[in-house]
Amino acid sequence: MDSHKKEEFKRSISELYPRLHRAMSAYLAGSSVEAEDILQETFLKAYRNINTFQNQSTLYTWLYSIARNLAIDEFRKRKHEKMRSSTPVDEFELAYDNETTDNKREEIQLLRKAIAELPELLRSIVVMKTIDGMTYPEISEITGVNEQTLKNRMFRARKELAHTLKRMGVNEL
Amino acid sequence: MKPYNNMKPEELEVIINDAADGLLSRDERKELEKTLETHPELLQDYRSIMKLPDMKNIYGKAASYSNPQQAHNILHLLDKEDEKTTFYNTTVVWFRKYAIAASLLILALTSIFYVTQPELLNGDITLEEFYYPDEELESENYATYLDEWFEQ
Repeated sequence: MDSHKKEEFKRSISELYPRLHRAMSAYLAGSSVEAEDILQETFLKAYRNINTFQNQSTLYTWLYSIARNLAIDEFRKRKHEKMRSSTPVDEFELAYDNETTDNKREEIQLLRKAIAELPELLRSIVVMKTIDGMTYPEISEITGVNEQTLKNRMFRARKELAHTLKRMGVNEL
Repeated sequence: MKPYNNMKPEELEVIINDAADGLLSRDERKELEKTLETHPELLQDYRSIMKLPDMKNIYGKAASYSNPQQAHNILHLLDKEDEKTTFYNTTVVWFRKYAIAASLLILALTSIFYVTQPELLNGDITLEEFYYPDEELESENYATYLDEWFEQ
């Protein structure tokens, strides 16, 4: 039974890795924690505990919650270091499509920086909802917070993002 | 759902969030905007939130994060984990299977041995005397010698 689950898990890595990598890159942007390290630990931890995986949640949301918990542990460990790095946004590792214009790039940089400045509680929801495209029930499953509270937090996150972008000089807001 | 104008500010925040998620119809949005006129602060938040740019693609497509080398490294790690688990499981199974059997065998042999040697059971002789019946300790000989010497 376990070996069947393990084989299935191994086969799904190539499919799950890119999405989780993107989500963790967004979640950890501006911090000193490397997404690759968290991902490696996540897959290993999940593999060791594959027998505890219940099919009620999808494998992706299960992995996501492991990755998020590992990242939070890492933040705690590095509490004495500066948790959020002072890396200026233009030094963030950015991957753009070739068609992206300069103006668009600037907007993307500001948005990424604004998200990175959010507190963890709000940033994690913004990443899950807007960047990773999860539904509120899925986010609720990962965070253990009810949907109503999540929507209130998302409102606060959006309000804070709008405020930060305005401060950054994005005039439209 | 109750009408927007009967809602508390926290409930209206959720509706604003639904609007930002694109879940409200045009009429619902109009009704919300009308209700928010009596909540100027929330109306300001609503306007700012609705102007936020789409953030869906700011980190590009998931496919661009594909890293075959990293995925390969993870698979390699998992294979190593399997090896460790196999060794551990084999050791534990072997121990459970054979160590318990060996303990029982030793217990059985010891019991048989004592049953077949009644002198040992009665305490007439010690196990040492049983195994080395003719050997005398040097110290005992020396003590006997000294006793005899003093008597003389």
